[in-house]
Amino acid sequence: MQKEAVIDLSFDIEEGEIVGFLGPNGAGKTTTLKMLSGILHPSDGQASVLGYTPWERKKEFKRQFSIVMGQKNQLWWDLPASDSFELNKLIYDLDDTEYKRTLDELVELLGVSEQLHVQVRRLSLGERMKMELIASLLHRPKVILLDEPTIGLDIISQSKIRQFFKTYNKTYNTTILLTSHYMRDIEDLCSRTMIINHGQLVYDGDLKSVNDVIGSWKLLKIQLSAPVSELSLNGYGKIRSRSELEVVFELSKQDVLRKSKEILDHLPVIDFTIEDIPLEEGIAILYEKGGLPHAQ
Amino acid sequence: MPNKVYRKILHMGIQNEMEYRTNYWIQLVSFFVPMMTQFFLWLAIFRSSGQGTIVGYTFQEMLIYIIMAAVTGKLVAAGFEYEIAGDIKEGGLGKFLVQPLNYFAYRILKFLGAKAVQSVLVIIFAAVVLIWLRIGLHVPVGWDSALRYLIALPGALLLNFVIYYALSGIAFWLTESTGLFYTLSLIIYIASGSVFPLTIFGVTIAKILGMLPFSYIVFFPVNMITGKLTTTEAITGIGMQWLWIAVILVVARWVWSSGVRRYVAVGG
Repeated sequence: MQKEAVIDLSFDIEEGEIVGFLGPNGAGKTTTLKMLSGILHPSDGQASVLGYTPWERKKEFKRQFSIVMGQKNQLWWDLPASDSFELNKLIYDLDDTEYKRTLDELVELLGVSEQLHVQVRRLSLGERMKMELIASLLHRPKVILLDEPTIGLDIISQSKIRQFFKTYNKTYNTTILLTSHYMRDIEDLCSRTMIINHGQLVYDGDLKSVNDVIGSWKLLKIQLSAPVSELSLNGYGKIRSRSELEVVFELSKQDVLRKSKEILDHLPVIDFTIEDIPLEEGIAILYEKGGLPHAQ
Repeated sequence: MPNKVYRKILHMGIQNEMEYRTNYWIQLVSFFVPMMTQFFLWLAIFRSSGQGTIVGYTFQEMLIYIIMAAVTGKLVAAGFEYEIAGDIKEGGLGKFLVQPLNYFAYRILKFLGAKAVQSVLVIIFAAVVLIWLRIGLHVPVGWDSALRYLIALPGALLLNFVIYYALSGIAFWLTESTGLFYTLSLIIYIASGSVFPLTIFGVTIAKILGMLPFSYIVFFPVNMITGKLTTTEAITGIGMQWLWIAVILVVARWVWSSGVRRYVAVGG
């Protein structure tokens, strides 16, 4: 059975750009990255990365880019990361002093000097991800493809890794294409965002206009200790869904704090969360508004 | 890929194995158990039959056969096929395809590294036992037949490896291949002569099995040391071994090049 993961997708990325690749699960983000890295061979179409066609898998191309997949690891599980690094040094045929300098710098930036000689299997998830990043960057790639680099990490590690890429991009003018379904990753790092859905580009432009749509509404979810009357729920904002002990309000961004306070004061709330509207919905809204100014 | 890379992978393979020392000592025990069973089995058969030779072997020759078949089986055993199939199934192959690295060389060397430590122990064991048989029990094991065996060993190892390399490519078509690997490895185990000399199956079947590549993995090299082969047969055998290696390597390359082309890494 064949399924078209990516149908009609065209874009250009300039050197030194950090571009965020946004979309719900199964939208075709990873498939696109895999084609750009040469892991997958598309049934039709062209791509040129650094002047090479990725799926020809030329050695010269492989030396100049890197792909990091958050859920796949290349480090040797039972050995210290430093061994895997040395292997990569040999695979990419790196010069001794150059290698040492790069390694020291990356280790410093990510703060993992203590863990360098500990078996990978003993590291925490965050430490392991940092080691994976080092392994992928030792050969100083000009293009980096990041597939969910912060998946499963705690907030502190996530922000550390974002900070790292920010600095790295500034220092070396590296081109980065990043997928994530954490809005924060994209917000923090990317000047430009591409949203894809069902394998098609639905938006290409700055994040601000996306945020205007997606970020302008928040969802306040509350849990009640006892049922309340319909009447007492009125006047706070649009009620999105409601069951006996759970209510979800849709609040505009400006109002969210004020209204939440009121709600918490007046209703018997035992628990609450404030969330963004799901990306899928945001995309649907973008569609409806015809608000795809830059999509081709 | 320069030699330095190969050496590093081999070295890391050894270190990796050393992480689990207990494991390989236990594995070594699994090597003795079937050998002892075989010994008592053949002892009983020879005693009750009262014949000097059974399926073409004297008791002393059979003794050498079962020991050396176990040793050879252990030395040439593959096992990387599961790792390769895992890489294909779980999409890990992708991360190797993007590196300037020969994937098969990587897997083989990692595997050889892991095997090296055990192999040294097995070879020492074999040497000690053979010397003991020669001095203690006056079993005729000549230096020349030991040498012949050593000449046949690299071909046996390589032949087994290319067979499993070709087989591991099946994972491109069959998502879950462990059941198939297990079944095939059992068939190869028997057809190579690891359990019994192939002559036990009667003239016709032995002849058919002799035409297949598997007999050159164990049956042939072990018969180099039992002294069952004439010099002409020995030379022909070596030739056949390398001919099969060449043929299967061609098949394996074809399997892999068409497999990688249809490879669809998992994950959306």
